Amino acid sequence: MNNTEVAIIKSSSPSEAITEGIEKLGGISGFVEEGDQVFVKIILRMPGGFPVNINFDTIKTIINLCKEADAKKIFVGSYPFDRLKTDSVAKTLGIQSYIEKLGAEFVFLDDQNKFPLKSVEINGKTIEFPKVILESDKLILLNQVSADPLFECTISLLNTYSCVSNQFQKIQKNVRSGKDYLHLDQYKQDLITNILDIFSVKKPSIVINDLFYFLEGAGPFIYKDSNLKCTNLVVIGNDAVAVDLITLRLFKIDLLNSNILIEARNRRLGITDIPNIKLIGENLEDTRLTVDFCASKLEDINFKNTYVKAGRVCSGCFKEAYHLLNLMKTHMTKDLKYIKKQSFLIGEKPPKPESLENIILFGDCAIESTENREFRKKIVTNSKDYLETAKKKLKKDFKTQDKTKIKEKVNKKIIELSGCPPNRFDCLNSLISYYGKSQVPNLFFLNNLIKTYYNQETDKKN
Amino acid sequence: MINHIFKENWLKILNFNSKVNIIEDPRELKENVRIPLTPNEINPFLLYRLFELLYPKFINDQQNILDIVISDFELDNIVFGLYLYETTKPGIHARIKGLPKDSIEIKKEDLRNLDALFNKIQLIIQKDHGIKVSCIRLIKKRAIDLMNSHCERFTKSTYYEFIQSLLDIIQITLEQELIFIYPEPNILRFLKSSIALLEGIKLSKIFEFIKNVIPSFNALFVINSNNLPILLKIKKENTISLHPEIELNLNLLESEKYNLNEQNLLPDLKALQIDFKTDNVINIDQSSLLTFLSELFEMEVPPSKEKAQLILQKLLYGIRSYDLYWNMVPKPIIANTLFRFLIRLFGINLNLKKLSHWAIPDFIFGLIDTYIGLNANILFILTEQRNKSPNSNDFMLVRIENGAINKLEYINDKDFLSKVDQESLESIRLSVSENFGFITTVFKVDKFLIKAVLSAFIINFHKTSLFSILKVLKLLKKHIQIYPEIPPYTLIKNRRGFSLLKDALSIVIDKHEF
Repeated sequence: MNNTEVAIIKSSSPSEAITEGIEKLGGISGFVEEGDQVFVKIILRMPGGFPVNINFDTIKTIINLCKEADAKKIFVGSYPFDRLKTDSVAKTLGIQSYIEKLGAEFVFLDDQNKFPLKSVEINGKTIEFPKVILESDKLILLNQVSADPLFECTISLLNTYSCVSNQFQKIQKNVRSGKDYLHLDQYKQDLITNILDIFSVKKPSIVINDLFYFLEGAGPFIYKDSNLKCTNLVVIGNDAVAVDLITLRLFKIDLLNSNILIEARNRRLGITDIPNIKLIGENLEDTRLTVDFCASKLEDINFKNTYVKAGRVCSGCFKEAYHLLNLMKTHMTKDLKYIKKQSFLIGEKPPKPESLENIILFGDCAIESTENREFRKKIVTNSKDYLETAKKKLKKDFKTQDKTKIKEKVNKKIIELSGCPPNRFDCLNSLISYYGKSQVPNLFFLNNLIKTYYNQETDKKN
Repeated sequence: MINHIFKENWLKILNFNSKVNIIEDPRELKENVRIPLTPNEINPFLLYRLFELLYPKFINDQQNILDIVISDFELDNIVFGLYLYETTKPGIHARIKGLPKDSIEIKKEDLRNLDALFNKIQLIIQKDHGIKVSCIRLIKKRAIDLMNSHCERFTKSTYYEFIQSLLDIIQITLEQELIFIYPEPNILRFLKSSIALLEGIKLSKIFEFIKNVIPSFNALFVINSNNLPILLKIKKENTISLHPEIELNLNLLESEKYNLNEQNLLPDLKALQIDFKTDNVINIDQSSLLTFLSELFEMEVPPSKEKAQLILQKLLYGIRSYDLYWNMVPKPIIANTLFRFLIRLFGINLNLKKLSHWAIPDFIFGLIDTYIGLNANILFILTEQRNKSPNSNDFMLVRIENGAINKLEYINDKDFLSKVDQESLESIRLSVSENFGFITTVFKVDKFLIKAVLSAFIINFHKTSLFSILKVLKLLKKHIQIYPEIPPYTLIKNRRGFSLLKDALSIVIDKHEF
């Protein structure tokens, strides 16, 4: 007997799809009871337009449904992207007043005086979890699905990760003895373990994967290659793993192709067998979506005057490099023309650069594994007095002719972006100080824009 | 059926057109006709040449046209009148022949398949009259009625009222599909879809807005070509009365007088300025302008993001091509080498000919996508500094889908607007969001700022200097408000004008001189 239900709803608007989906799953009263305190976990990545953050019309629908079920209190919130304050994101989105007008409360999770944290032990780790989430009777995951460079799609399990602060999201490089960090992609494994640890703390009552508008091509932020595809679909259920499994199946991604769902299955965090899921609404087999996912190889992110060369890369560096390269492609049109040629080397033992000029070494692996490489040095010849040499040649005075002296010098046309992984926004500072403001006017402007809301680390001169 | 003023004028035009080939120098004929549907008198030869130039380019480049006046209602045969033009040159209407209205039978449902209807009519005309029509124009009786009342009105009204009336009939005709042309020209499709995009916003209202924000000016445009150099004089003079005085004249440039010949494609602009008593003379290359317009009309409306970027790129390329595709008298200060050299000493690189047409659209669209979003509803509130009454504010909603404008809506619900607390942008956003879907961003712009921008960068372009740009930047900070405060606005607000200008110029102007 399968009591896990997942609804695949096709409709003319995301709000209608959500309302219809919840109705088909038995109505909101089946999930939220009278007097419940509800926490709606949304996506709040950074200042930016839809679909970087959540669809505001769908939040309205969810809040209205909870009010319909006579929920006592409705909280809405999320931790934003690393080093960003909820306050600065909320201000640029104007979300607080909007939520309040709807009759809910927007939660500044990083305000620990108002919303204290509670220590939770998971797998030998202590994680500080917001009390407001733990103490809420019901947790609703409202997730915006977009293309993602590491997990194909931003499924709801990833959404739960931002229930905790960035301090607990960070993956420390932990090389296990006798194990190849890169080969095993230890970063991704640790990341998946962490995500599932956090997910296991508080299971959601309703999970909504809103893929009505799917950001394809390049995501989950908006880049030049991004395209918003209208699929008219929303997937809803009460089991996050099952909802994610069905969502991925819509994109023709099987369980075996999703590391995070396999791990979720191993840890028995939800249903991962489709026959055990009761599907409602659209027929899964008939509803298959064809979308463009993110570039799976960094070399595939092509843009003017830039040659990307990758060695063995960990997922952490891959993700940050993916975002940095897309930022460059989107916002540096003019700069890329001025730069003329640059090589972007990433990972362990990357191939040799296109030229000895403007070499960007991204990440500790690239920096350390290329320390003795040829391109680190350049051969310079002594400066010649061409007039004198010509005169001597005319006199056929071969003996006195200067012999060209060859010297080896350190190639200073290299930018080292250290870290494992380096932070994409901190890298912008290093690029500006290397190229100079006049060579990268677009990047300089973008960096100033980012500084208005993002706390960059002070620049380390190359 | 048709208004006698219109009919008389149209027959006069046809009569002239039929004589053009037999007269030695048609330019010398001292006749005057009016441009159809306007009070503007024009040399009939110029009108002839304009039809010869524009009709094949924008409407149809084949010969013989059939006009069919049809009923608005369901009848056994909706044909009210048939008029056949045998054109020896495409677009040149010289001979009109009224055909018996029962010679072609059309039912209302036939209009759903214009392709089949056209083929049927073409066969009938070929059989009965031995000519092949290349184009049919179906005009509903209501369109004729509208034209008639417009023609009655414009003889008694001011030029401003005439333009409003013309825009109204264009809008009604296109919105209610009162005219069909088969094969449908790009310009008609473009206009129809542009009007559909406006979602009820009246063209006359847009014109009124433009009229209010444009300061007085008196300019002469030379639409220049070796073949057909045209002079278009536009004058707008703000008066103390409600409506400004508008003057619009079309003339043929006298090539010999202004030293225009095959070797010298640049007429004597200074002499033109004196003779036509205008503040500025703007010389524009005709063929580039027509190419741009033709590409614009080919565009789907609403345009995709890529198309909009491409059109913006072409427009910017046109602007940067000073001395190549256009020039003007008085010469713009920013085109002066000494001026540029002096401001360069202060680190300001202002060079019109180095406008980064290739990079600006990417930059603008990149910022909009990132900080506004791919799907967004933007509310524009146009305020008037002098008029403090909240009811004087105009509310315009721009709906964006996948990074491209999808719909424009004018919020006109007086009851709703009277209930909105217009003091705070936050409360406006919340109230409008309730009725019109979530409003992503609210832009409050004062008309004074729009006037200042238009004056500094368009009307008085020749006077644009470093100081006028800095002044506009200062006004920009004062007269524009954005809620929620998106990062580009925060940056503009917090930066000093001079350093902001330096940064902005490094983005919009190419670094290298050569």
